[in-house]
Amino acid sequence: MKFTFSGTMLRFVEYAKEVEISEPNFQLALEALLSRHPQLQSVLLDGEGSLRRTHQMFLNGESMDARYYSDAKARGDLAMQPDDSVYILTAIAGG
Amino acid sequence: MKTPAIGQLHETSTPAEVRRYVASELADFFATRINPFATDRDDACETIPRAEYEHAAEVGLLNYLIPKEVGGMGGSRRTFGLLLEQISYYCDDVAFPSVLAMYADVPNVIYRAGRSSLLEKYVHPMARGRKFGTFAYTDYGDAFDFQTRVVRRGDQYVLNGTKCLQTGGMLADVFVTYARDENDDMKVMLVDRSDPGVSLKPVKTLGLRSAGLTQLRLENVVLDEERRLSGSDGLAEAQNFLNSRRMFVVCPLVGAMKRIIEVCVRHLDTVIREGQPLTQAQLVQARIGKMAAKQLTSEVILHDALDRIGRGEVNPMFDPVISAAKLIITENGMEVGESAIRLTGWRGYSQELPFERLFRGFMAALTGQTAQDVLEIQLGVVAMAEVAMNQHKKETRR
Repeated sequence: MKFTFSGTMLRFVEYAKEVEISEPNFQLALEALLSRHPQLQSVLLDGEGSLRRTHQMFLNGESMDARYYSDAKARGDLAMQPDDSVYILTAIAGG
Repeated sequence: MKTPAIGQLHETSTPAEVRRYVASELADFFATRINPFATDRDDACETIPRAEYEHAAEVGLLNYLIPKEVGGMGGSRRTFGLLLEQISYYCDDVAFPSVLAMYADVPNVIYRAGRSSLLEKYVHPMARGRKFGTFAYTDYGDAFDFQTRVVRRGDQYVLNGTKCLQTGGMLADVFVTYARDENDDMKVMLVDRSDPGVSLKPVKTLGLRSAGLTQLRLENVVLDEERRLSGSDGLAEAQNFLNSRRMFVVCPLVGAMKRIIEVCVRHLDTVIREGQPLTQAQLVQARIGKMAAKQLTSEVILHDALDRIGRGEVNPMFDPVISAAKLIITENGMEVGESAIRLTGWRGYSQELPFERLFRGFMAALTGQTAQDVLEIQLGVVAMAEVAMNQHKKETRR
């Protein structure tokens, strides 16, 4: 599967627009991604290990359910196929 | 206690109903207490006095968005947006609706924390116009790199840093302040003006000079746990607030554009060139037509976006429709203001007519609630993401 990034997020993944990961479920894929790009850790996850809601996550173009943000077990139960794509869309606005 | 007349408005009130309310209940207030002083206040960079916002509380404007159970009117954000639009038709100083929108919105951020002590200390007095709050977000770093830091020390927090610009800071009693903690989480802290280590500096700007803009400096400001508003994801809470406020920044522009066109036409009717009023010249008519088209399309875009907000059809983090509306209405406002100056020559460029002051006020929307260029980037990123995701869907379907 692959993670796709754009805009503000690119600087945390060394400007790689896509990151290919080979793991059987979403949680393991996320852990592999963070291990490859440790700078992403505090940007993607909050202090309690939940995905920050600022990032909009799309699995194969469909918005991911809220439970995948906060529940690591739900993420572990989500099987990943080789051609799956998770798009992380981040639009941070100013004041 | 008698319910203010604003109570007759509701979540589906039409723009015409809101216009009638503002004309009958508020127009005199602006005509006597705001408009006659607008030019002098702008010259002197003098903040609109506290008493005028206290009056806004008395008539139910300042507490319009606060839930009824804590002393507010429980009004809808959609109708409040329409109120801001109509107010700006009658109010010659766009700083007033801009600050009003901020003071009216901040109590809800505190209310959502759901703590009774905060309701008593902040929200109840805010509902009565006895306290004002503003938002201290803008920083010298970006959202992932805020320079303002908050550090936990025992059961307290210590804040240090400088927040660049606050709307209405000169009269604010409390600042909803965003700072980065040791884990790079964003924390939302309530900072009182009177807290030791807090200092404020007026900020001089091109426009909105009566809006009481400030810079907030925090030097070893010690706050109790009670003053922490956010959970572990303060960035999401900030984005939610910013997204929903973005529309309020441009509501005043739409009413003010209408006012500019009227003042411009009335003035040009009195200017005789080659034996005729300038309004008879076709080039002038065409430019006025273009200004009217900008104002009318802004009105349509605004009302559609407000209706979406009313129906809850918005993405709470970054809504492309609200963002596009802010972007386009601001650009339209700039064009209408500039056209009025072009048409009226030296009078429009001077204080003889209000256009130069209003035009400078409009320019605040170029940078406020996300700078126009940043919004363009974000809208582009979202549009390109949609294309990429649709492409992926097509490829995996094959």
